[in-house]
Amino acid sequence: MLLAAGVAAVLLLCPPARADTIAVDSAEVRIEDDEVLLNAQFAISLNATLEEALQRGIPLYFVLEADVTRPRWYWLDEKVLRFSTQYRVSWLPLTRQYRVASGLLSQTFDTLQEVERLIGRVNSRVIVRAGELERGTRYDVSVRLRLDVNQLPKPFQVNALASRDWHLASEPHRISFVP
Amino acid sequence: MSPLLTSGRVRWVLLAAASLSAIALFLLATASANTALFARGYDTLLLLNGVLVGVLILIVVWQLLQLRRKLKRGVFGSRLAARLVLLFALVAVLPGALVYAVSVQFIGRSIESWFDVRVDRALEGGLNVGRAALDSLLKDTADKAGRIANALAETTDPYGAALARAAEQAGAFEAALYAPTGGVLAIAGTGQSTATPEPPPAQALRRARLQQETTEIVQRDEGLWLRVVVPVNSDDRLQPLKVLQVIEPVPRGLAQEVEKVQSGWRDYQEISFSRDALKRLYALTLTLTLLLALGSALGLAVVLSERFSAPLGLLAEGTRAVAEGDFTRRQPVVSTDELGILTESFNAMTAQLADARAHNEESRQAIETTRAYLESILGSLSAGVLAFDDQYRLRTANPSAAVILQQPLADLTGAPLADWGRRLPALAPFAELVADGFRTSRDGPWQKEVSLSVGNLARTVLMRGTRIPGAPVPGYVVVFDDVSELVQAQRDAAWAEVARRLAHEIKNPLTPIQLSAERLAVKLEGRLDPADAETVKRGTSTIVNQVQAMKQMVDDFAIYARTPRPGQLQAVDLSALLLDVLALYDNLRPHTSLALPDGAVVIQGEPTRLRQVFHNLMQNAIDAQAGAESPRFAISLGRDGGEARLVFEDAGEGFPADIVARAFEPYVTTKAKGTGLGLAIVKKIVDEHGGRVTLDNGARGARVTLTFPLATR
Repeated sequence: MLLAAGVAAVLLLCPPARADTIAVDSAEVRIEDDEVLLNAQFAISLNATLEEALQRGIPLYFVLEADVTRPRWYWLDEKVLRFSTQYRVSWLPLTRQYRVASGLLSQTFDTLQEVERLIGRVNSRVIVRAGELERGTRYDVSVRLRLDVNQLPKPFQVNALASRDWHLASEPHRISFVP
Repeated sequence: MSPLLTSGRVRWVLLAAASLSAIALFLLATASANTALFARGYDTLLLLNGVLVGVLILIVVWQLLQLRRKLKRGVFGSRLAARLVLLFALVAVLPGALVYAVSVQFIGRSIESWFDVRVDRALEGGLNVGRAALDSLLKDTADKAGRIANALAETTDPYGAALARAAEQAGAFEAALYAPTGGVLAIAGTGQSTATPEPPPAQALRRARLQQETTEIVQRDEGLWLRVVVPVNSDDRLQPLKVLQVIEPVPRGLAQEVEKVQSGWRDYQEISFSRDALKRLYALTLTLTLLLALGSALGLAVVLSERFSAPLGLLAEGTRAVAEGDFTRRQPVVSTDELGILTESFNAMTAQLADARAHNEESRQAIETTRAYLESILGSLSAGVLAFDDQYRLRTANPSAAVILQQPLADLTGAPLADWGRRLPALAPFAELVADGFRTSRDGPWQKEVSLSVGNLARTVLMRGTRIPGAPVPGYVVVFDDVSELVQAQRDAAWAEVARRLAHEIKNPLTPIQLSAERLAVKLEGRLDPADAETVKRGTSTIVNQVQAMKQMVDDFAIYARTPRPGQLQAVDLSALLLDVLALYDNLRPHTSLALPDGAVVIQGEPTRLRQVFHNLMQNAIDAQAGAESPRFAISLGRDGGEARLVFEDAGEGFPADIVARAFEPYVTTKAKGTGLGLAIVKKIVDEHGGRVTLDNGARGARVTLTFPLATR
């Protein structure tokens, strides 16, 4: 009974710790040629656990998310769209290189710092076409970069439930713009 | 129990929670073993499982709390339920815990057994072998590139032809010449990987400009490639630096093998790294399974226990109802097992009890009715009835008995017959008579007619006594009746008959006797000498007088014996009638006192016969005081309730005691002369008027009291 209570307590009372281990250095939204562009700089630093996991052949998935919402004073904000892109970081033991893949593109790096720099730099990402938005209305963009725990192998998902080492995420950063 | 959470609902909630948990647990177990399933949201699934198990545990805890509350309240059947729960729990928990412990141990051991330093080293070695093979190929390619670069450096031919020739000589797969900035100058080779070959990376170009060679293995989706970038330094110093890139595919077989080694190493590393997490995962799944199993088992145990013990509670309730006298409860029979049979038997028993009680009630009512009937009969009997037990103690006396004896017989209930005389002296003769009756008859039935003095009145009582044989309660019964009136009536009737016959028989010869005597006197008058004539005259005179007296006597008898003539009554004022009659006794006026009330005292009666009554009474008074010097006649008339009361008193000798009882019988007289019919006639006439006559001795002489009912207007 004690064991049951303990497990229940662990399961129920320990929500995943949200440590904002990725700092947002800068973030801005620019409208250029009918496109809403996102420029941002994140400072990522993988901890020892994650680095070891990577070197042990476990791929890590990073997700850049940008939620575009329209504030409404009378109700919850309207969710307009979500832009998201994913980076897959893996270790190539044969060549002792890191590989970052996003969509069809992939690049290899010799050091982890290069990988962190690549993922942390968001350069003129088109998040939405201005034509899809109402002109003259204020919109909010919430930008966030995080490690996708759900894509980890299951044992590590269990680990992630209990350990904060497995949580790597930035605070949502809000930017307002008027198309 | 709150209406929201009845045990029925709890059962459904329990069932739902258990089913959901089972499904979630199945998914979890499948997902734990299968990498593809729930690759995303595995933690959510885990949480869902945890929540469901938690809900299950909460339900069980709630159930157990309910059970404890019932135990504390002492609800019947809850102890059995608790014991059953304990048993079920023991049966479920012990094997569950055992299997759980063994499984956790087993999983820990088997996961550990997957890992081995030798395997680790072998895989590492394989990887190194792969690397060595690739390095050797890379070195070959670098040599190839060096040869092509040398050939290009020595020649002055156009790039294209020179590169084609050199590449062919070296047997290169793809060789491309680039400007230091990255622009393509020429391409050659046995097979080109792409139409426009990938330019060398900026870093490689930079290194080439610094006269350094770059060799690398490129992993592409289509396979492994070897890339060598070298600077091409022309002999001609004026010529600008060029960069040569040679790309060779790794042979397909080798590439595949290397890839296998790499993925094998990666998988092994991953599992090795995650072994603790894996153990934790399996342990968690097992724990959840155990908790689900235990929760379901406990919940089911409570529900089943309550189901088992519920009929007991119902039976207890029924028993309590029966104890309180309520036989109408019927417990529903819900099962076909022994408990069901027990419930049925209980219902049958209750029904029988109810029948028995109804029957009992009926017979009791019948007895009551019979008793009431008997009592009413006894109460309406004019005869007195006394019931004694076998020790002659009075058990019951009916009201008539008390009326006849004029004694409070109810006070004597339970008193033995021998004590009656002591407790109520007036009853001593009666008690003696009863005792004597049973004594002389030796418990047989007996009957006797006795004379008793009741309240100064002599009564004739007919008594019958008998032993009640064969009765459930042995005892004796005495029935007695006041037959005074009956005896009197019989006597009256007998005397009336005698008087009537006598009058008839005597009256007939009287007239011839009188006539004969008178004729004798007439015929012999003048024929006899004076002495004889005188004798005859005296004799005939005596005869006539005596005959006259005899006629009078016979008339009196006739009056006495005359049957009453109903329907000739009229309103009579007793005062006027009395004055009328007393006028005839004017000579006695100085000795007469008369007390009359104001107004008329009217009764229904026959004036002539009432006159007769008054005359008779006056005559009696005169006769009683024949020799007295100062006779006295006190007559008073009054109203008493609905009756007129007339009292005649004189100052004579009064009635002798032996006469009082029979004074109204004919020929009972104290007078030397007289028919003895006077009071008999008075009594008869008064009776005919519905009145009463009583005789007693007053202050100085006899007193006669007449009572007549007053006429109603």
